[in-house]
Amino acid sequence: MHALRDVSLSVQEGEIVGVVGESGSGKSTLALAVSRLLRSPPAVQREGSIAFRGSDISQMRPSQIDRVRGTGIFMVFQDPFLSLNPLMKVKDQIAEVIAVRTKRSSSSFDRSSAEGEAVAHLKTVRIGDAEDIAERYPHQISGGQIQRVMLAMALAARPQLLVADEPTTALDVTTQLQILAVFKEIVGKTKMGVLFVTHDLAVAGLICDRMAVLYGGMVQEAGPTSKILFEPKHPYTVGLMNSIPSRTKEEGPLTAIKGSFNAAGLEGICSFAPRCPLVREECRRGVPAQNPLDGRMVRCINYGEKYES
Amino acid sequence: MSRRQGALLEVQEVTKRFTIGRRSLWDRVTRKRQRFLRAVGGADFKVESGETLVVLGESGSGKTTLGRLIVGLEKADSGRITLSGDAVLPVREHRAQRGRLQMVFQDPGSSLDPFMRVRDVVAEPLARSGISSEAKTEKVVQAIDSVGLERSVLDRRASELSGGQKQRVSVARAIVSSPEVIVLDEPTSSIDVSIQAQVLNLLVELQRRNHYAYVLITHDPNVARFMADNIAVMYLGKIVEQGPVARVLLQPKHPYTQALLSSTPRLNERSIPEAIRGEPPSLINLPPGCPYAPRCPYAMKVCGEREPGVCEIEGLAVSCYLYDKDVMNQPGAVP
Amino acid sequence: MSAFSVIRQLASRPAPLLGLLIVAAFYGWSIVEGLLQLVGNLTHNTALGWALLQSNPFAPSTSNSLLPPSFSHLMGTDDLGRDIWTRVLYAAPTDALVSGVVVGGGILVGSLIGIPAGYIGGAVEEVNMRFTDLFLAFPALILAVAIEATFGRQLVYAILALIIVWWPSYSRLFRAEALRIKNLRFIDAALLSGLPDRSIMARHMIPSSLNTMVSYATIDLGNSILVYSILCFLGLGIPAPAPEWGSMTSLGLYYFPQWWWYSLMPGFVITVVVIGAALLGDGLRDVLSGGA
Repeated sequence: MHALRDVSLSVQEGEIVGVVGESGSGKSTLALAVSRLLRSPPAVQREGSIAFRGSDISQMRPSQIDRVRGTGIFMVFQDPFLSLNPLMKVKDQIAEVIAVRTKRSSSSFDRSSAEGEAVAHLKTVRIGDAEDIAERYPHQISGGQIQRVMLAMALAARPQLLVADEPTTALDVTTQLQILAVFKEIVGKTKMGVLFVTHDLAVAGLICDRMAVLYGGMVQEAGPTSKILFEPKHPYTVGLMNSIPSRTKEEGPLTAIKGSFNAAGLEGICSFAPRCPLVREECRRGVPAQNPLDGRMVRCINYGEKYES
Repeated sequence: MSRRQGALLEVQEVTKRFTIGRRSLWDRVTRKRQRFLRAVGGADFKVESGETLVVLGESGSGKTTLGRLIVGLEKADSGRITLSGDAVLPVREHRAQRGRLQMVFQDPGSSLDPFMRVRDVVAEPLARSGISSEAKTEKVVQAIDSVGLERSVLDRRASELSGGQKQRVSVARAIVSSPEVIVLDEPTSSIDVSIQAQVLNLLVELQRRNHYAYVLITHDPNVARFMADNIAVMYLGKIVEQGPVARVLLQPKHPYTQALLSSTPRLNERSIPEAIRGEPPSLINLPPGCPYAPRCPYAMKVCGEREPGVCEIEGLAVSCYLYDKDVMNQPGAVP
Repeated sequence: MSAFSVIRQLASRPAPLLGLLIVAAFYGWSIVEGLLQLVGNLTHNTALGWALLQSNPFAPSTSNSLLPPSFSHLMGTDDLGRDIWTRVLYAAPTDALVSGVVVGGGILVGSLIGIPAGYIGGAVEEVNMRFTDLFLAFPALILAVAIEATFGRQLVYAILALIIVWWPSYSRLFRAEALRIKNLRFIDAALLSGLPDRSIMARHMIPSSLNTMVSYATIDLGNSILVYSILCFLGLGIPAPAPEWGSMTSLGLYYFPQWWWYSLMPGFVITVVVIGAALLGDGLRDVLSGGA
């Protein structure tokens, strides 16, 4: 079963790249693959590479990967409750990350300054009563707060690449805004690159410089965020945007994408064909190849009849 | 037609508190103060049949508790809830209202017993109805048809279905007993956006056909805009603003509503709007006064002293001193 | 998931497959042989009990006394010349019966006490769980000795003693399950449907709990055989000449180590069955929880 096929994207320094998809799109698999956190087996990388600062990390041995993780690539997970060690206080977990960072940069680790730094990071991510939260254990704080602790850890790690899997989904709307503002601030200051995985097009629109829309394990449309949001081409992107209610029920039903995602039967055809309003016979002749179009890339027969070999 | 006075569903000054923590014998002896969490304070509204009231609020606003109070899964500490004039009694003590009030829950994973077959899940509300099993089967099949599922799902186990299918089964279960009021607690928050649109369309269609009264709980203003006839905005257990959907969403009066709407990311928006400051506080031991005062940019002295009453203005009911003429007309009442 | 897919998944890895084969062989054989013995006793045609076996497990044959394992006597013979493998096979249904009744009885009593404790809570929970704690404190062997000393050495009293000490763990498990399940949304839905508490407990709590418990119960089958064998080993099982794995192991000790097969063979069979149940139970837990 292909979770991802022919996915290509890049993240530059100081850039936030969004990967937008629903369940079954493969977006979480992508995030885990980039962080080299997929268990293999059952995950198998058939082709391709993941190049981080020029080296292919997909082929590295676990011992080499360990050195990359943390200060090279840091990941923030979707489920807050699985992210922290339940037996360690918040400040100790952040301090642990600082210890790794200082060791790698060959400077000395000072416990009290690390704890001070931890509290400072907690303040940066707008956690209320930072000193108090720092002394607590994960089970004593809410899911939203855990998510913010993870972001504070990301700040402490000073990674070059941050992989964030739905980092604000569990948060209130207002907290989400604060966190997104923090993201942008950090990226601006540290030139960190961010791979931001989300299901929320609007959130991606707020902070991503470029984005890729994922469906059925393949990138269907990718390019600068403004292009994708203001002039979407791929029928799935259009359908996704239309699914977000933007009117009252008196103005008519929502234009929903019909059916639901089913991985079966998609071999050798466009993965969106069973649900696409613009489907044609040609859509089932092969897997559509990527077409450059108007400043972005679209994978759709309606924009060019080219197939993957 | 209806022989009742007033609206189909009336919620009058309903309040609900939960106690926090267990008091041991020692705590009782030392008279340690019991801590309370005020989930809902003084909720008051009416819903007619065929109408949708959306309760809009973030997590911690008390919206879920309000939904549970309406159907009787929780017992109110004060106030009244009536359905066509009959009092709604807590289900644990009185199972008689079965069928008239139903609920669709947020989490598809725990809404259905994973080991039961769909036909049994949907038939459950009919269990004590006394009708024949042929009649039951017919109603079950009708319900499954009306939610757009194929009849083949009837024999599958609930655990084998996708999230969207599970929510449809939840809706089928809610309508099979021909209820008068359906409370939907974030019915589409846990499913994909593309399926959400289908489910919302379905809910509107079912309401048009059968005139259910919906109380739809959500945190998403877009869903509210689509589904609502009226909206009640909740913050920390209080309804801070209510009225027709267009007025509340396009010309919000309460500072919290304004902040909530401006904080919701809009498609096609590329810059991050100004966020409201502060944290969503906890519901435990609330300070006196308006619950929003600590974060409100317009807070005045009186806001921290007493809770504001309800002011009617331009067809909206707002709980805010900014609209209280007596307060605003006093000298020095500049926010 | 259906029984077929569960079995298929179990069979796909060596350890659970081995467990499955051992347990299936043990209970399969016990059912067949047990039925033969039962019919035989009812119709006074006891020879039916060894119709499928190579020889009469009761008939002594002094000329064959204490022969080592060979092709004609897979496990050797005992001091009276009786084939040990035959006696092991003949005794199997007893252990199968004991394990089934004890674990089944434990689940039955445990659910009746534990589920209301978890679901209803309050005074019911206090009373039920303190009652459980009381029985949890009983040592199985001492209780068995006491009961059998009072009422006599019969299988039914051994089983009774075991059930009494077995149900408390299930009571705790069921209570924990009830606590977990009662907060799930479909219980709210059942309440809104007007179902009374007893229906909710029966229709919703029991199936979910049993699913969680099936792997524990499977391993427990092995445990109950082990404890029963120990009882027999200590002389508290059915009196001779009825063959019983534990008793045979015990008797065989007199002939250890020169005629080692007498004690070790039945002991080995007990071990194999207990391990088989453990492997199967472990495999079931992996399969049912969807883990790799």
